[in-house]
Amino acid sequence: MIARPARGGRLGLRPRERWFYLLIAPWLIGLVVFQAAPIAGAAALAFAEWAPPLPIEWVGTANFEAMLGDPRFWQAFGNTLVYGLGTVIPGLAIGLGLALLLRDQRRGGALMRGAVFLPAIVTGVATALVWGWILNPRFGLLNAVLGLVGIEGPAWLQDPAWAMPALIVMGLWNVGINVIVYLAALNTVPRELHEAAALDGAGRAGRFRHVVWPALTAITFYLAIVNAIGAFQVFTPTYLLTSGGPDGSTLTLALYTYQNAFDYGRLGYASALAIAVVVGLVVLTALQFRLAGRRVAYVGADG
Amino acid sequence: MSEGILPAGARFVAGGLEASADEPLQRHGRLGAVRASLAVLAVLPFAVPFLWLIASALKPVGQFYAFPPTLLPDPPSLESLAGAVALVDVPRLLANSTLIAVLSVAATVVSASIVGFAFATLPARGRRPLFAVLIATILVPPSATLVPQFILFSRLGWVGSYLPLIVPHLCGSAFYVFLFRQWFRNQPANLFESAELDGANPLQAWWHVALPLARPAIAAVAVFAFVGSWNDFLGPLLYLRSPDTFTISLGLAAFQGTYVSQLHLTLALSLVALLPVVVVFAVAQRSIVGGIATGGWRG
Repeated sequence: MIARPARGGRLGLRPRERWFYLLIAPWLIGLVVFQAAPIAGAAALAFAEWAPPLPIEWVGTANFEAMLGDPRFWQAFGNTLVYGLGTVIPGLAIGLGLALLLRDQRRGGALMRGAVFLPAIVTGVATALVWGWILNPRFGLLNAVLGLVGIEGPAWLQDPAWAMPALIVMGLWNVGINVIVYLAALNTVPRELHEAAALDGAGRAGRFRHVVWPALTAITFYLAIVNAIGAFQVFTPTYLLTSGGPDGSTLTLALYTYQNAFDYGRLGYASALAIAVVVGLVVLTALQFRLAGRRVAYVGADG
Repeated sequence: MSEGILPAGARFVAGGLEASADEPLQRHGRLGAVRASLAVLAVLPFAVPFLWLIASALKPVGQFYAFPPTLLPDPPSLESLAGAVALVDVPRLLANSTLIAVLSVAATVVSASIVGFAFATLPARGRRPLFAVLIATILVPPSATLVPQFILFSRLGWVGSYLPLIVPHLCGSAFYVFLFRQWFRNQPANLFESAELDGANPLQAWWHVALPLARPAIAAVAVFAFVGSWNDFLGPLLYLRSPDTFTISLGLAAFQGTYVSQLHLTLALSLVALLPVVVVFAVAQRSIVGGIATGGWRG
């Protein structure tokens, strides 16, 4: 058969291809307008100072130099790192632990899984305020409970030493997503493998290490990346409850970027911060890929 | 952890909420009891803040500030709730949130399902690299685009309106496109081919054949899009200006800023803000689970 392109318009597209591009057009337009162009814009603005209505002033690398000498930036950077370390790795461990614990609960299992998952889905302003209430130094539930066992609780969100740990606990409260993802992943481990390993004399720990864990490495890797990106975006609780305080102890990069852009009107510097966050995340993700390397087994991964 | 990881988990949510299908390894009596009590203990920290919110919001004002606190409201009272409703137009806030959420859900479902349908069923040059780009955009942190997007929307004159909160959803958020693509890929391919043989073009095939098949996928995406819109704080904070246009989240934040010393009112309002999401989740849980458990989400 002689290949003869059907009428394909100027681009030489076959009819089905034209339909493909027609139907994905909304996404393509969004990709350009709401993603690519803004990222390019941020990259350009990072080399400018702009406080509308004043005209844009190109300042070269001045924003990045200012960033390196800005103690608030370094504080925000350190805080974000601490928050990330405090939520991501424990979040994976707690998520997996809870999944293993909850998977075989017969009585009330669905209710317990729902209870663990609910905080992750309703997270936002209301839950931040509830936590603010629980952590209230004078009337809060937590200090009341600590008082019962004779401990005088700290002022939590008003204490520079305890505000970040409190923020991390609030972050870990959203670990339900990880639990649910792990529960689903655990269900993909073939029962026969368990039984075969048990017949071979493998104990609980052995079965976990050799049968269960290999099936979870890919999903763990995925969760680590997505959770790390999420940790770098934490905004609502610190904006709402502490405004980054006390003494900047809960100032995160997301909050500092927001403050520069919308409170201080420094759009150029805010863009430089945003670019720094993106570069940091790309480096972090690349590191995670390297670290994971061959240890990740893509069992049953998508084609 | 933030709003951002929510959609990322959606794919697995339903499978995870269900108990493992091929139960059970027999639990031996005592070990089972130990595990059950451990599980209850482990779940408590997740449930207690909600229970405490409900108890606090229903306490008479005098008991609210008692220290050490009383466990249960005695008697339960709507005093705080009435106090909050008297100060701020709560039905208006709820209506605004509902309007934005419903329009966002509709935009998301239509656009993401069309784009996902195209990626799943229409072979074309450039489809693979474009799909790779789609997946990569799931990992772009929102903060990277925050400032320029704000500039874009203010240039368009959209600040102060709902447009910045709704229009971007018309472009098919990447993760939901991915979900629909997976769903349609798992339907028998000849379904869509036979529709075309009957003279339907791909858009008609999407509407008449694909969408009716995709009800469970639509339900899942709709729930997550609704919750995402309802919980959104940064978007309304940036783009809404006049208090009578505020969403419940933004209204709640503004309320606690104004009435800092009236914690009991803020807590009552928090309960109002949370309830719709809890109800949607409770109602939809089964339908999401049912939909996804049929195997549609497997790659």
